[in-house]
Amino acid sequence: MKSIQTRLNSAFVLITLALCLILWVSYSWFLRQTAYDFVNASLGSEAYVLLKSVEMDDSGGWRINAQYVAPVYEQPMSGHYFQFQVGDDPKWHYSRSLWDESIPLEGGEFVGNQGLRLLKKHDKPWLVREEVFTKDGRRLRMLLASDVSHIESGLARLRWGMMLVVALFLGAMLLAQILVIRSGLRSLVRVSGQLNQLKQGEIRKLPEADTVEVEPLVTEINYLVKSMEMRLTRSRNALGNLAHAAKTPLTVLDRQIEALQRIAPEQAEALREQSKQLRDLMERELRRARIAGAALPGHRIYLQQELDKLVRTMHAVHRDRQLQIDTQISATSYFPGERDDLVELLGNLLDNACKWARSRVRVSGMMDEHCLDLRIADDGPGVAADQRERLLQRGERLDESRAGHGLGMSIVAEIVRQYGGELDLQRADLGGLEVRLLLPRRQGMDLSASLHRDSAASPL
Amino acid sequence: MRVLLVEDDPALGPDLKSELARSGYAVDLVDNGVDAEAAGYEDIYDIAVLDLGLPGRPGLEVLHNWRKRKNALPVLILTARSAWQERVDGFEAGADDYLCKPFHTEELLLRMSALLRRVHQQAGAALEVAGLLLDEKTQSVVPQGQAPVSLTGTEYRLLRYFMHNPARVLSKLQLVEHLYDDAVENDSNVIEAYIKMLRKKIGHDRIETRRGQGYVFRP
Repeated sequence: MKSIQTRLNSAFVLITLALCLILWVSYSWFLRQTAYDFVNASLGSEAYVLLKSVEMDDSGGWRINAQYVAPVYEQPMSGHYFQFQVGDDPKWHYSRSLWDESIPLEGGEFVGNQGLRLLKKHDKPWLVREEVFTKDGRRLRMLLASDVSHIESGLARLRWGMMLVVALFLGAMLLAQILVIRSGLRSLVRVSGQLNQLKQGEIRKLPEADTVEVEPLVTEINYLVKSMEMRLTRSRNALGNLAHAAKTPLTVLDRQIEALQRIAPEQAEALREQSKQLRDLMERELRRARIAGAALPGHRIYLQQELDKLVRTMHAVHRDRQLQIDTQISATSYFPGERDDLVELLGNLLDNACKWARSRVRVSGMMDEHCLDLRIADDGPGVAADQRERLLQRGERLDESRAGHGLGMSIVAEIVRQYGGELDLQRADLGGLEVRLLLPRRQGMDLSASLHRDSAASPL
Repeated sequence: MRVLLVEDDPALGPDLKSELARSGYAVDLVDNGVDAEAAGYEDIYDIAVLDLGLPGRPGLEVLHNWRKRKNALPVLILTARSAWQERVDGFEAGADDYLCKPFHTEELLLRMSALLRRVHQQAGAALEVAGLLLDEKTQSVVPQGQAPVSLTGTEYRLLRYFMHNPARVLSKLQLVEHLYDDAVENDSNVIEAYIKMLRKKIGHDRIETRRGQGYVFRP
């Protein structure tokens, strides 16, 4: 997955580098050109000075009057040179600074205007300007050259300096950008944290966002959560109504069958069988459809409160039996899901336990960082090891004479499955059956380690 | 025993009413929540059988309102809603028992008589007061160590009401209200005749006459 921060940063670095490169290339081109123009202009003015100092010597030849010439032309290899030729005379007159060299008449590349040439002489860049004058009726061809290596080295220095400035600038901008983006993304980061809280059930909806860009996201998520809750409630109500609508006629039908039994027992028995199947099927499917599962975020049901109500209900349902129902729930234990699912889960397990218990039922629960660990134990006859497997796998009813342990168990298994939990049956230390449930705090957590943890390290 | 039967189904309601009447209950059938709540405040019912999905006012709300106004009428919820959360809600709202549809009539009758016994703090599986055992199935009375004596419908209902309320002064009007569901036989003189017949079957001194007040069943 890509991070917005990294993507923005790399884009920024690339764009800034490209811009700096363009700036740097054009800047150094202009600088060099300006320097050449400057050299060119000074060569031009030098040419006029030299033109003035060219004079005929006594022998009819031509020479330079050293009095007018700048001393740099007298210094060998000083970097400033000239040579000239008068009339048709092929002989060139050289400045002393040239020593025994000469300025190349051709070659090099033309830079700027006015025939300025840049060429290499002994690995040194020379700028050469050629002028043609007329002096005393004669044609005077003059070449002036200037060693511009100081310009090149100046430009090179400038290049490094600029590189340093650009690097510093880039670093500073990048830092500034990271800070700006981070503060810009802060509301997103906050929302992702709040989403986590929502998933954990610490909050029921996301608080209002403070940025225009994030606000629609938050609104949309809240709307989704709410509409899912509403849809669940609606479908629950619809199921309740359906159950009511379907079961009442079924009751009437059963009563008709009872009446029929007095007249035609055989037909009545066949009808009764069909009616029972229909009833079981409906009951099972309706109960299954009611399970919300772990799809909804934002739920955290504290166990003790629900358990207190259920225990009161169990005492009412099994009123004729003097049962003692103990609950040992660590205070922080919560059910990471939907209230009705928890009540259905515990209701079925407790009801089973109460049916089979002789006098005692115990519910214990604790929570660790992975899951909720629930145990429901009774002091009844228990279930043999080989039967437990059957009970778990098919939700079979082991004893047809007593209701329960059948459909209830399959509902329990279905709820546990939908929450990604684990279900295990074992012998209780009270003597009867102990049902152990592990329900993950978050969807997708691996519970195998917790399940096989030593049972001796039991809650409380 | 007079029952307030709240059931909106047009087939099940009357059917259940006649079934309960056959078992010796006086039954008033109400098919909506508003009337049901109003009827529950009349002090003539011994038990209510309440459906939850009712037109007008939900059954749970009816029950809740009764309990809020300190109406201790024993209530058996008879509903298609079988989820545990719904059962918990029912008991938390103040129900005394909860039976899911579809159900068998015997189960309902068993639960009703168990609830009535419980309300009158009578433990045990059958109604037995002072050596008299009332057999609800055969509608007969078994005096201790003697053969069962069968009762007519009204005698049975009368004796059952007496046995549920031992040592209490019961006026003729009270007896009429709890034995009959309509005004057809509510002439209180009829009661005197039935008391007389009942005394022949269970012994004269079981029912004491309090002049100007009514009758007392002596345990």
